[in-house]
Amino acid sequence: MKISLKWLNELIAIDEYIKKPEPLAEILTKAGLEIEAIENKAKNFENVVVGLILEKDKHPNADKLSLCRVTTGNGVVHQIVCGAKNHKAGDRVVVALPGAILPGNFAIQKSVIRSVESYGMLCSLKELGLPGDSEGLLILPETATVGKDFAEYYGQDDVVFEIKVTPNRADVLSHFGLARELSCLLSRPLKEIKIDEGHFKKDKSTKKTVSLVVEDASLCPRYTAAYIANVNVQPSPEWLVRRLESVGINSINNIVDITNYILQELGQPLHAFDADEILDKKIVVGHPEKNAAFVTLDGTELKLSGDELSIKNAKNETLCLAGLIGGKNSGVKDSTQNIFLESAYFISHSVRKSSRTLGVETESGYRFARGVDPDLSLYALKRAADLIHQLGSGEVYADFYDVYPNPIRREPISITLETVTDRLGYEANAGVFENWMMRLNCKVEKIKEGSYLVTPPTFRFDMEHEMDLVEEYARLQGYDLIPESLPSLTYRPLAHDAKYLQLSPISLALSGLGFDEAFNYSFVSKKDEDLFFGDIEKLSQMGLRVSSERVALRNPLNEDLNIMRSTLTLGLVKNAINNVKYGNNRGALFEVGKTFSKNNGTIVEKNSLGLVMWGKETDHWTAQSQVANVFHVKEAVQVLAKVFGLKAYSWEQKADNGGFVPTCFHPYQTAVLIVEGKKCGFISSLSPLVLENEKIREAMCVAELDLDVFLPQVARPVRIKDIARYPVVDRDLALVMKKSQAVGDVLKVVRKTVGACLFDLEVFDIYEGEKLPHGQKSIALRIRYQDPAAALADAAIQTFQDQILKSLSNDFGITLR
Amino acid sequence: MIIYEKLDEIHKKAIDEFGGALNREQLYQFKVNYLGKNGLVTELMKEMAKLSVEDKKEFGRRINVVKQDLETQYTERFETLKLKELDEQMRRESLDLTLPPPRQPRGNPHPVHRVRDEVVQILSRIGYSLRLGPSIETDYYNFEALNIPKNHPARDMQDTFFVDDTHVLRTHTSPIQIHSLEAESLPLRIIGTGPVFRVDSDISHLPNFHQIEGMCVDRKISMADLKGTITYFVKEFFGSDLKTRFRPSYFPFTEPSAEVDCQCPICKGKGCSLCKNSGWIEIGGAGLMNPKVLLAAKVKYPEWTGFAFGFGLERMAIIKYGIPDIRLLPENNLSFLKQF
Repeated sequence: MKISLKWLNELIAIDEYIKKPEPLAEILTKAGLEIEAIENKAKNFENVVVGLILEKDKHPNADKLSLCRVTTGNGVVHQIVCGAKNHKAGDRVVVALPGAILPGNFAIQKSVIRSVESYGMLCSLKELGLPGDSEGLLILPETATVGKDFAEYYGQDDVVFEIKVTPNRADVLSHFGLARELSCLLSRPLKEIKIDEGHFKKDKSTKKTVSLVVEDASLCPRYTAAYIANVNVQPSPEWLVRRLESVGINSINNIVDITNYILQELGQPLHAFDADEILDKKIVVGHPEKNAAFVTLDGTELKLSGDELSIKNAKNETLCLAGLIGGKNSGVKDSTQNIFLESAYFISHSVRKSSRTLGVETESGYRFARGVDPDLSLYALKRAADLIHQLGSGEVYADFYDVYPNPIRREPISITLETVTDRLGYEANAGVFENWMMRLNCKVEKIKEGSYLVTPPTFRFDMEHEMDLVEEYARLQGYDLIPESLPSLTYRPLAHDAKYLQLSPISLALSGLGFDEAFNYSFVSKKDEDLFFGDIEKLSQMGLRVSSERVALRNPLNEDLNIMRSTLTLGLVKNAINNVKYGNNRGALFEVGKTFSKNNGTIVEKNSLGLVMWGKETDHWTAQSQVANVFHVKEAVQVLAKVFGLKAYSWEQKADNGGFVPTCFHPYQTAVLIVEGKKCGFISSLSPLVLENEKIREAMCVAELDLDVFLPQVARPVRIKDIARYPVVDRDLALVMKKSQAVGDVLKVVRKTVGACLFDLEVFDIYEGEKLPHGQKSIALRIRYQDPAAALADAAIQTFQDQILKSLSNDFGITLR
Repeated sequence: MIIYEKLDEIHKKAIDEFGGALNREQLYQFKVNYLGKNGLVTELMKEMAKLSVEDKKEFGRRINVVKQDLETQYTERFETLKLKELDEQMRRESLDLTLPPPRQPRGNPHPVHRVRDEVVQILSRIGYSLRLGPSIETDYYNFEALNIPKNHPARDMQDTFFVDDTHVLRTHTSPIQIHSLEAESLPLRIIGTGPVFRVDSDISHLPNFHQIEGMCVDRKISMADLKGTITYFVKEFFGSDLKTRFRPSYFPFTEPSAEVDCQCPICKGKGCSLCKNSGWIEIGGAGLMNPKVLLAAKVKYPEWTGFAFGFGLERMAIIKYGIPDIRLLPENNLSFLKQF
């Protein structure tokens, strides 16, 4: 909200802060009213002062220039070269002295013009950035005091505060409200606003002219109104236009401007009806019919629900949405002659609900939604009526409406100083407490020493409970007064969430393998997901809990972020593609995060892990380049399995995945991870189709795991066995088998046969080529033997080797090469 | 006796040959030539049979002296040659260590999580335990239980993504407070963290960002306890020389509420572009827990009181690492991530 300090100064004396607003901003910020910006209009006119031309001579070296001697008071005289013609000795002019910075970032400094020194500039309106006739220098009247700051002289010295008002402080949403707050903070009296009621026509009656029925007093506790006849709708006077302008409001006409002025001055929203448009001169405050149509004064067509509070005419037609916006059917026009001026107190939640459901946001609605002082209604009405009379010579009919059947009373709050002391952590003082409460306009009743009943004023909606008073005490005394202490720990701290404790080992292991951690938004585009995966339900065959029905957002930021993600894979693949586009042609990312699906309409939130790896190592002088392939992500998954002590897992690869795998994946490079009989994710290479469409040449592979299934629910204990110190014996086997033979099955046979004596097992070569019969491949195994209990004899090793070969031959027809 | 002369001759020749050996392999061959099974010295011993008993004794003694001497000579020469050979080998193995090494891939945790883990460590030391919660919350946990009733203006403070009539994407991590109060016994110190969501996307706001917050419920918890805790935290996280400042503010779930500023870690309070020349940086919000929140979670107030504070992890990362643009954080560009 914008607050003009000059305006504020009419309500409370703060003259000294207009020249130096920063300390005032500091006071307000420290009291919880954060000043977000200070617009100091005088800043534009620093070193610009009123001057008097003492002498005007011709410039010795230029016909079109004059040489002036100008005083700015106190006997100071400046020599200034000037190019204008409309000035003469004895004129009062605007002098920009060296150091001034005029609009357009034009810095004034001492200069030499045609060999003559000039110490400043005499200014025109245009050069000062001000509107108006700008031919030649601005010549000021003789009343202008020489030496006075131009900004002050010309009324360009206003300072505007941009205040961030928190939702609890509706009471400061006006100049009067802020003045009242300052009156408390600075301990200064408020200036009186003078309302002349003398011209109110006692012989004419508002009540007799327009009839009023308040049907729903629960949502409209107070309704005041005045009838003003023979108004003259016309442009507002200069002072009013400028005043509204200073807080960013455009002038419309005198009537509308007055309602806006009162809103900014007192914080009371008003509404002016064209009285002649009110059918049968009857006003009803109640609810519209369900589905009734209503056209707002700015032409928006709304359909009402019937829950809104509205101001209606005799035919039940809505003229105005209470506290929110007027209707086109009854607004003030240029031709308006008589007005019915409303100043009411509507209940905040009702106005807010109408505003939200209808999507209408107005200054009036904003204030009502936060709370308007019910005690202010009649006062604001009188102030507005008086101002309208002064501007438009309208006749204000006395006998105003003030329908206030159940005047709002504030309940006293019981509080002890001990509570204040306990909550703040420092000794609260009785005198200080009483003083602040009274300065806040509270009624303070001392029950006994240190115990009070405090009744807050009607405008402080936020003061209801003892903590509200504790807060006021803390805020007004200043938070700097609060000491620092640490609460003592007298109990045993709890363990961290187990899910969190699993994150760090994952991150540590994957970082070591070269994976950087990614963070993607939890929302994605449904279209993108469908395009990428084809039939997303196929992922459920690969161990991910997904559903074609997504968790959609009702109000997405845009269509690219309209559902909660089903997988992490899509985001990571996009990250990889972007990285390639920015030159990072190899890399690896992982992400741990939530994925979402629906199960019979219920939202399911899962913890998932995604991996992506792309590109190849650049050629290095020590080694051949290595292409990122699906085995790297397989290893990453297996490392994680090891980190979490998982042993009983296996990989399932269907001979022909064609129909089962989503279109984004390579059907012959996809395998599903099975832990304790449950599918919990997959590894896969991206389909070349995806890469081609993205014009990516780098290979890319991914993995995604459902962590809720993959990770053990309870951490597996680590148990260490002693190490054997007997010799390790290596034996290599070259085996020939069908190309389609899964090597995993061969390794299983070796592991089973050798059992406890297997120290290590490696596949160190795979050969397919001319030296073998068609359709065959050769696998070279290195089997490393060690008996944990004794030195292993050659004969025993030979027995293992023979058994392995026999089993492989029997089970798979595999022979020694 | 000719056999003694022969022995001396062999001895002398052997010493010469040992001395002339170029490497250990040659030296060994020489040793075999003299001391081996068919070596010259061994052969000479066979001639001993022809000698008289006294001569045998004398010759045996002398040949043993020679043999011992040759063994000694051999060992000495062997050591010398070993050093020489290894020296040559090392010269051959000379490497240009200005060459770049093969690159070992190494990854990093995401900066936001790095900050999270650091905060968790700092608060763990004073007894806080981490709790997580769902991203999708009910209206009750996200708003009502936190003293933000329907049609309350405080709802405007957090622009909300709606899933359906009862579910929203959580707009803050504070629902974790309520879940903890409902599930655990008092006293209690909790850290809540995770992703949060607001309908807000511009140069300085992400619609999906992260918060971390602390909650302490105990007997007679005061603003002084809150201030002390936050001061401890800020000094640990940003640096021990930085001051903190509390400003009154408003949050529906705390009262009194405060915005917490920390002296700018970049300029140490002198004023710079990060702190917009104010010397201070806003890092989060805090306050005593509103009794309405405690009572809604069935906590007996005023027997128990508490405080809560919350920070944005992205903001902390930006401040701590001098990240120039918040939008770098969800971009996942390696050129950014590899700088950590």
